[in-house]
Amino acid sequence: MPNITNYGSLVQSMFGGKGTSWGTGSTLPGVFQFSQLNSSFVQSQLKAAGIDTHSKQYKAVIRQMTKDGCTGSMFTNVQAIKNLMKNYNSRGEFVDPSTGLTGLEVTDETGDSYKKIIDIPESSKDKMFESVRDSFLHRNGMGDGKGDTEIYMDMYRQMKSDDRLSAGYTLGQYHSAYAQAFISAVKAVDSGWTYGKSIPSGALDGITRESIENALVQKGNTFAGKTVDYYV
Amino acid sequence: MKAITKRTFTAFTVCIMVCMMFSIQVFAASDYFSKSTTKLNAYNGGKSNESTFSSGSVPKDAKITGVRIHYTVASGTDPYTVYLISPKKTRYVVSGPLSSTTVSNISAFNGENPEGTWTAYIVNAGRTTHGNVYPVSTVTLSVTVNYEY
Repeated sequence: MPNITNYGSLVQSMFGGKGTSWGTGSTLPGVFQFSQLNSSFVQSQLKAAGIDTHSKQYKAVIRQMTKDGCTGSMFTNVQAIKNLMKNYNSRGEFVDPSTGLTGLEVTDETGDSYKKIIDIPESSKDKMFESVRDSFLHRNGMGDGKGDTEIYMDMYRQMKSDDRLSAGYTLGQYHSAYAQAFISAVKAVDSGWTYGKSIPSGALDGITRESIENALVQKGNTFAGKTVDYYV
Repeated sequence: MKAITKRTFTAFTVCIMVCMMFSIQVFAASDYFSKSTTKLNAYNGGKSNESTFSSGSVPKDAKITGVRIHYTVASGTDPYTVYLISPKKTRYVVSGPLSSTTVSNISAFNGENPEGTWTAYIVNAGRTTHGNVYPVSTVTLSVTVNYEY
């Protein structure tokens, strides 16, 4: 039995055999150079594959390919475009396959414009307060994030796509404010306290979400406490 | 002249000590964790497997100060896009390099708490310089998250 060393011919035979013409300069089905995208030949192939070339999904894919530096001499194919279109919804927004959510994308060009305090659901703040308090009461100020991700996900589902990044930023600011308040309370009892060290009994008694938030002052896009902050 | 110099020196020393007393408290400690993904393979405009890794236990008030990604790229890899998702589900999107390299100073996650599960995957960009093969991308990422608390 001969060893198969040329896998290219094997693949080609699977898709119709060597020498079959599928497009200019290629021997694989549906392959074409990007410069041929708007030709009637390629457009008819796209339509035959069920691709709506007027859809926002299709336009989002082509826009992204162009933005990423796809030059006219590069090769793409009908199935690749079809696969890439699955990442977008009917409005042309990228839908994260792991979360099913839109609007949480940051790139190197995004900047800090989304970093602003906006109104978020009270229930999200409640859950985050409980999560932070639990970390101090049961894990001496350490956390592994278990539960926090669900709090964010639950909040995002209640927010509009355009507001999700800012909402995440805002909840992060509350998270930080709650943690700072607990640290201040512990340090008031044990000035040498550090993360991981046991919390003195009763040090966190009486701290409520309301008491923390009443002491917060918004400064620009962050919160500052009215009381002195402690750092460990 | 000698008295003035001595007085100036004393004032300077006291000033330095006072500054240190107040500044030591606000010097934040820093730490990091570094994790590698499984090998990420994506084919013909498709998405790779998702690879997850945990921050482990970190201080509750930790804030990310920078992320570094080392790309180990398989020879002949075609263009692809990297998606790195933080525990709060912020999604950093960037075109990946076609040869192994390290990219530092990624500030997209700065200020976030790093605790929890991170997710990474790639999506093959659906293009290649070869007309006789379908595009394939194979990459392994090593992600280092720096934070302070």
